Amino acid sequence: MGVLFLDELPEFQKSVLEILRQPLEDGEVTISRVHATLTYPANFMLICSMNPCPCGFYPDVEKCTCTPPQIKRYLNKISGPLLDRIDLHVEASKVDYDDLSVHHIQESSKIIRERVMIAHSIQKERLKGSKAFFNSGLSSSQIQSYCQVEASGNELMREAFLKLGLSARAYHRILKVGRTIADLDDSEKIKDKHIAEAIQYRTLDRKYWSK
Amino acid sequence: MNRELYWLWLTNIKGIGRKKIGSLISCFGSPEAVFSADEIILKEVTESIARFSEKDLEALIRSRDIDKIIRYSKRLNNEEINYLSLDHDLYPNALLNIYDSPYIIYYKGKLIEEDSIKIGIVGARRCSTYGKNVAEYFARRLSEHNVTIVSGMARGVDTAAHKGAIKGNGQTAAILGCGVNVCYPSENIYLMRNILKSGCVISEYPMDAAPVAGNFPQRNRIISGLCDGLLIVEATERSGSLITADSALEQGKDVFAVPGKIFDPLSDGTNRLIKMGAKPVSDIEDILEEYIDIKNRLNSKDIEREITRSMDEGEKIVYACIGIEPVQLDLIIRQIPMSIDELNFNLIKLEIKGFIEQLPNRYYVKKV
Repeated sequence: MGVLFLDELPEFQKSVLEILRQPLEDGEVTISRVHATLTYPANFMLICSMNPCPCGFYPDVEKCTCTPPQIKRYLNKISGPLLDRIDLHVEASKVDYDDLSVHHIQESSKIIRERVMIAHSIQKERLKGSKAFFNSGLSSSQIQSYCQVEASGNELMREAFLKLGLSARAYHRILKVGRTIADLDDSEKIKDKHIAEAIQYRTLDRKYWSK
Repeated sequence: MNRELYWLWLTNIKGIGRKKIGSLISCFGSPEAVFSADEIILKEVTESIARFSEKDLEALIRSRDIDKIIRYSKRLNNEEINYLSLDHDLYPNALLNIYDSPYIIYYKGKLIEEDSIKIGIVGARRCSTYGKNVAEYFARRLSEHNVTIVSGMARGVDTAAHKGAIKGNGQTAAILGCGVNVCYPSENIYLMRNILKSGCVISEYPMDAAPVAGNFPQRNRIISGLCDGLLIVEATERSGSLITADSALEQGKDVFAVPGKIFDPLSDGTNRLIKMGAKPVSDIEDILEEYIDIKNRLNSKDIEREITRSMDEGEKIVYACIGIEPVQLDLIIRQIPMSIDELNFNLIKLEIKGFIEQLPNRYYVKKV
């Protein structure tokens, strides 16, 4: 258990990245040696960071010196199946000088922590008696029972599925993330705005990896 | 061997290009005559042709091999590559009427219809989002009116134009600076396949010919040659698309240009064309009215009203902040008294409904 942080994801060898697929999906990793085949639990949270291109300036056309094939080759180092298994895609935009110096009014970490603790306890209660601790471990039958979405949310999901070309795996993951967003909002039903936010966290692949 | 095969032979001899072919034809009258000419007569004639070397003469004589020619034509057949000499009935009339018509063209797919209105759309390779959207918009709307879109399948404006034509369920022709079985640029392989589904890919260069830089200005004359009018979407001062505009003018075609912001270097070329007489366009009617009677001009305000009718209050407010230039999320936040949650919600609804497009780095732009 723990957190695995991989910085500069495309710099890893593709074969190494592919090994991550099994633990991400099954929560365990199988190692074969000459004399034995062993399976270990591998339940970790994967956090990765990467630049959108080798020089790092894409999509700034003025500064980016990469050719389209170079960018494509760089991004393709992360395979589709691996990308699919990452639940939240967040873009960190360029920091403006003003943002560094001006003091913004934001929620304090303390208040945010409280919200997270409440969501934790909701999930613990929900998953009492099952193997998983958090929504990420919900099985498909559990998704059916706990991740009920309001009608308008379902409509949004359906449109997103069709228009944005989401995969079946993405569909379930969005539901689980939506469930967590609803928990953080202290809402029993998953509303359409929770689903919308969950879908937003999956837009990176469309923007950078699509044709 | 039929006339077409003689042309195929004459245009595929190493070292013998358009000018030398032209001289040979004017001396002998037809490709068959060149094929069956006596070696001594050939030597005499070619000695007086500019830059016709001994090597060229050898290559010419050696290539006069019927079996080899037939085998080559079978290879073309296997690759589904068709060819038309300028003597062929199906050779596009538009190309016959230009000054230096290609002696032979190769094509894959369905050749464009003679009597459709053909509009070429060209522009900068490193175009802006505006340029890309304008190209796609014009191509799509023009195709919906049964106009065939001609372009060069280059990066940027050309690609957007072909994509727009395909979206508009119309015909499009891509004119390449390499063999029709070579995909350049390589990232357009899917686009090329889609073009071939309903349109065609044409080239004057033989099978397997590489995309050599010198081929492209020549290729441009075929783009302008085939169309009735040429639209330049975005062009810097020294853009290659201005060469295409020159060819169009020489060939007596209409030249249209999209005006742009005066400080934007990508509009330097197009704005200059307008100053020199190209017709500025802001919608497809500006192009169509040169060829057909326009019954009623669709007001752009009416179209806006239609679109916003299907939106709720929140979506309308957010949509109003997004224009045809990409705008960053932070800018939108500062303009509207909405919480970030609500804003994100409206953005994704607008995106799914197809009214806006999300670009990298949380930029948003209106979808045309």
